[in-house]
Amino acid sequence: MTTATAPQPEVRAYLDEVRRALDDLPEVERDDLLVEVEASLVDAAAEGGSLAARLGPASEFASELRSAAGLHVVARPGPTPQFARLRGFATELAANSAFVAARRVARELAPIWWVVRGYLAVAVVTFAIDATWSSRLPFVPNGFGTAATGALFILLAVALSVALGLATRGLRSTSAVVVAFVDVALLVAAVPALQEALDASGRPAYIVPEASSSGAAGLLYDGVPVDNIYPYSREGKLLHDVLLYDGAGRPIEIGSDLERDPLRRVVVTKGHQPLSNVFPIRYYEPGTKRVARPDAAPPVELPRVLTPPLRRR
Amino acid sequence: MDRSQLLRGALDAATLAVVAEEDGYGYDVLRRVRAAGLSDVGDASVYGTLRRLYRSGALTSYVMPSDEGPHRRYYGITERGRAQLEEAREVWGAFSRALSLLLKTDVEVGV
Repeated sequence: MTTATAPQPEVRAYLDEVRRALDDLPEVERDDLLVEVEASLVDAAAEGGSLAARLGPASEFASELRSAAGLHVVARPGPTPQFARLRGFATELAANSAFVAARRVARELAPIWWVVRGYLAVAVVTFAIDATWSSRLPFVPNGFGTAATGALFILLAVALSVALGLATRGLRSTSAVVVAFVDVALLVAAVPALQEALDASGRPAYIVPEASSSGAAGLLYDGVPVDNIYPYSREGKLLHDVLLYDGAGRPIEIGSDLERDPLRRVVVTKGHQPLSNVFPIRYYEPGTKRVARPDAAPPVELPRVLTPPLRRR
Repeated sequence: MDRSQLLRGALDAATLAVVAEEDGYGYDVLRRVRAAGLSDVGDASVYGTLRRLYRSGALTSYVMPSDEGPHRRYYGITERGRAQLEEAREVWGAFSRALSLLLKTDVEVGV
């Protein structure tokens, strides 16, 4: 037996290595274990021979010590106590029968989510890049200007999402966790995107100046705002650029706030004053100064006029 | 079955039995367990088992100064430890009788 009070360098080195291997344990726990081991190692070393030869590699010694002491092996060093508690909660939850049943149902319904996810992805991108929504097809964005392209994007995204769902189904790896995080992020981002889509879907293609629908201004017929007037001649010919005035000589204006509708064809005076009592109101093709169908009108059954025309004196 | 696997399960009982006989420190308990015939039990297994039994209240511990190195932590058995040892005796007795019969060995297992 040695008479030295300090442990030999060999014992010290071996002990340090064991300590490193137990680095993830709470400090008190580890120190208690190591005090026990240190005294025993000194005794063992005193019997001669190499410690490592007698006890095996320090890492194996540490793992045997840990296992016998009932301290479970942590695969990765240094998880925070919060994370450990979270994992404990997850383990408890996984054992709960109601949760297990709910998860089974959720798994059955997962394909529905995959389809929804595809659509949401397109909606979120539409919102993020500030693209426009189709006015004809509700909740469909305009892809490169048309709703058809937008619909195609949705189909593509749904197909991709379903493929992703099938590929990651049943996985318990890191990639499954990543997908779950993306899903949650998508759901959060979808809220403002769908709000925008909802707002856009109720909007007509060409904005009717709001003054005409307020009731206070503009033109009403049977209490309903009139948004356009189509005058015909007695011969049944649609007239263009007819200026209308009421009995007091006031122009009958619809949507006098011309700034509001950039697509509305503006008829101006020689002094470049815009007129709002010119009918029918026509609209330009987006991005042009061209009216595509100048003779467009609602279906009208024109009567044949019997009364002879007024004669001018 | 691997002998070391069998040992692992029986180590609690073996450690309790050794300490019940006489208080001992880690290395001393290890030597006595080995001397009793469990020669391939690992050092770390015994130290770990001692700490676990101590934490669960089956063992008590006290520190004695040593002239030859660091202080030694001695372990003694508690009431709870004795109850656990008694239970282990019964379980092991029933288990070994059943297994001896199954394996049709002529070895008489005394507990």
